[in-house]
Amino acid sequence: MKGFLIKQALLIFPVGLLVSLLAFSLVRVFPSDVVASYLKAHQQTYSPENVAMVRARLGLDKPIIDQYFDWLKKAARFDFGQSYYGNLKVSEIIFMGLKSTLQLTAATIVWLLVVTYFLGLYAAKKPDGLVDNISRLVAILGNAVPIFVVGFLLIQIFALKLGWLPVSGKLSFKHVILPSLTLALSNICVYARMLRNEMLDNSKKAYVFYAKARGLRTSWIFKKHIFKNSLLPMAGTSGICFGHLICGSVIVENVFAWPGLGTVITYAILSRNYPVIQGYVVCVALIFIVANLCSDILTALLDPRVRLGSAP
Amino acid sequence: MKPAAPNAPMARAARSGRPGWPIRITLALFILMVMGLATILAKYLAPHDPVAINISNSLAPMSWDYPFGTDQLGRCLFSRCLYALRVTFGASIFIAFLTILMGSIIGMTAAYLGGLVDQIVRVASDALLAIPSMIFTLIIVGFLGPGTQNIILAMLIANWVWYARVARGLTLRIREYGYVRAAKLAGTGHLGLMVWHIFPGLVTQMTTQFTLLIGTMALSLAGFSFLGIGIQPPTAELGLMISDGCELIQTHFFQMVWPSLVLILPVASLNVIGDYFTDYWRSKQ
Amino acid sequence: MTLAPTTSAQPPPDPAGHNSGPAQGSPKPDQKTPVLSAQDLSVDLLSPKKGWLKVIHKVSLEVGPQDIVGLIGESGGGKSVFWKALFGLLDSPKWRVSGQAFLQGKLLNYHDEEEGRALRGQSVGIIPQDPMSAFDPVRTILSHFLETAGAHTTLTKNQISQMAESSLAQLYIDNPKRILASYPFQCSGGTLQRVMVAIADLLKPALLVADEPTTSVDVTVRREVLSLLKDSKNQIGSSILLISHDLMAVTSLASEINVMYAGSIIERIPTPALTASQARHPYTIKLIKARPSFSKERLESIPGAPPTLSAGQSGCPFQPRCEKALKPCRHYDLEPKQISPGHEVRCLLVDR
Repeated sequence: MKGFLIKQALLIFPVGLLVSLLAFSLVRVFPSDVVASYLKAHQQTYSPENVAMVRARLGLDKPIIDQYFDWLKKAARFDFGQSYYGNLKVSEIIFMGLKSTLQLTAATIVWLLVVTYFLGLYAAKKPDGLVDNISRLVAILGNAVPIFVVGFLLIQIFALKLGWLPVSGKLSFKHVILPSLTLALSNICVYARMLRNEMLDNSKKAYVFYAKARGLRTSWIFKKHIFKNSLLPMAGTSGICFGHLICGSVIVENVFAWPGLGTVITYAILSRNYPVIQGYVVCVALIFIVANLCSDILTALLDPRVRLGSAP
Repeated sequence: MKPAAPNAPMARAARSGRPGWPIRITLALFILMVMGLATILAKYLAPHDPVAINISNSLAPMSWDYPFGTDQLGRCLFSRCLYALRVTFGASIFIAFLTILMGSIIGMTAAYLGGLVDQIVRVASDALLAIPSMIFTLIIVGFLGPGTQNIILAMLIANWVWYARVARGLTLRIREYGYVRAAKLAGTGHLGLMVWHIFPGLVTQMTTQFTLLIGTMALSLAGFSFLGIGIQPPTAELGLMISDGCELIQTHFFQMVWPSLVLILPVASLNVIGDYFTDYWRSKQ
Repeated sequence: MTLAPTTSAQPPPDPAGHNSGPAQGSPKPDQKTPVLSAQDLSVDLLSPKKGWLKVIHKVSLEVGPQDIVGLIGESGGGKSVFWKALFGLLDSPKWRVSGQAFLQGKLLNYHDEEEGRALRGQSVGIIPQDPMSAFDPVRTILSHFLETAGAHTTLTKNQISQMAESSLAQLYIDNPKRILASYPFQCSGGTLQRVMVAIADLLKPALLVADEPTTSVDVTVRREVLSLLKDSKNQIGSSILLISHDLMAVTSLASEINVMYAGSIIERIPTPALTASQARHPYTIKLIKARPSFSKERLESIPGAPPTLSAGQSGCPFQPRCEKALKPCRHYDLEPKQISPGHEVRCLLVDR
């Protein structure tokens, strides 16, 4: 297992390098844009003196390599400077946004786990039954519906027409239900299908037959052999799933006015708030690295072939 | 021992002259054809100018003159939908095509050349793929600023990596096939081999991927426009129209419904077709 | 019909495992009752397009106590379907089983799922093909023992572990503790084959069914596998139904051989009589002649191929390929003809 984890950890270096270059070059390649943005945010005119002053302040007149290492040193301490708008440090903005987004993601995962389990289970127990066919249809059609449409439909039904849940914002526990449900819906059908397919495939495997041949009870065979083996590929894709959730959260947060990273980055892009964008890049890259690592650890824990290497 | 089952659905249908695929494919193709025609003939089908503002007629109900009614600025919703269809899917097809083309060429070349080039491409693509393409697009747009050209460029840069990997895998396999080796022995040069022998082998798979990618790109593009960082108003774009419609969701629900349907139907059709043929090619292997 | 309860009749487990008495796990039969007796067993398969197809047709077979009986035939000829049908491993309703079968004198009810489940692993030990894929890749070897015993008995984990360890040691595995703790992918085919035999023997069944035990194994290991089976018969006193298409494997172990062709048993012959001169059915003779041996210069092969499943089967199934076939063979009803005690043939030509 150690060797496996080390291999995965090694991937962090090229990714980290790439990310740091990306975040850094964001600002340095088109310095005139940055300067213009800065001036606009501070409501200064775009005059040569102002430009020169801003360039000096932002350290744009130093050689590129120096700039890169300066930035890298600060980034290592999570210091990305001040946001162009408002009086907050970038790291504070990112941190608050991260907290909210993680809360949303956690709620979504709860929905995902529960519904996928029951749906996949039911569909596998009765293949080609009603639930199975409906879930296949919904999976194909559901893939075609954009997340924001789903979100607004849910708002229309549950918040506006029925009044059970609040429309938007983040004020109480009830506020997380609709956004997390929206985010979950876009993924549920895919994973339920995946689980169902895995379970059907596994139930035809030779070791299931051998289990039957030894007189094991059907419920035992299902729990211990079919189900556990079906979970393995899903554990492997959990990192990618988390990535999808973060992507979806960008839109969902905008729909529901949820103050997470999604809204942070959207406003940052619209207002050309470069320091915040840089901070976001680094933050998000770290999230994905950690998520992928966790997913790999999970797979290694569940699958002895990965843990111990496949050599006989 | 037994010949290929003569009763297999496709063979049976081929004998009878009907297509061997299930009815949902026919339906999907029909929808796509209708939408495609609507896109091409938008100029002739649209009863009104999509950008003509007429505040006095804002939020008019559906009528023969205005089949979908009008939006908040009095613009004919039906005409806007037609043109928006063109914008969204035109851009999506364009991006999808270039993405797959670029990805295929890079992946194929890397796999063909092998050695250090291949290794570099492999590590680089693994690293790039660690970041989901949507976030990548966001970052690039953050870099370039919101705007129509920028979003297209950003989506292109963010998405080609996956297809490079697929193409690389395929090329590694195709390279060992008999006909490729025969051509090599016959003295075909590297470029010739790649263009005439390996690339055609990729085409079938990539076409299926292309079908699915158009749908994904359309949804992404609509999403980015919805957020305001994609295609900018007053261009009629489905994401923008849905965004406008959602503001009026409490009072005028249909403002959101029409552009949504116009977006969902073609994407669903593309998905149905793409999924079917993916399964078909997979079962053939 | 249910079997007698097993947990109360179970003798105290014997950790040393040197119980060479008669088979446990079911009431003691008298020495004359055959362990397994099938009479006119037929199995049909429902095809969506062609209706009911005959897979096995009127198979009658007996396995005596502490006896090894072979069942040979070509691949796809229905050998596996036979034992799967008897012990409830065919997944109905695609399958239809008719005819009677008895395990130690008790009638087998193929359609009772719970009865079948209780039998398997305890009164009947099944060793299916291909040890490499028969084990759950994410569970240890020991867990396979534990769950098998756990499904039928109330033995504790320690007791089962000890039984497993001693079984494996007897089957010539060194360091059984390590094997038990490891996962299937870490073991070789030969080891896994031994484990399968040990699991089948675990609860001391009356009958072992070994389906193609030599097929998935290296040539060098084949002989070992066969001696393993013989050892287990001697140690726990079970009978063995040995199924294979490898004639040599079966003749080295079995006392009697049933030859199956296209779903019917066409000859039942004691092993010593399995020679080209004493066998009577043309198919059997050809099988024997097709065996490679140093004394032969050319191998005779049998032209043609076995028939595919069909709905109607009239007459002798071998007739299309038989060079001695005559017109009446097409209407032959497969009535067995006795040649000598223990030797039966279903062929019209035998009288002539």
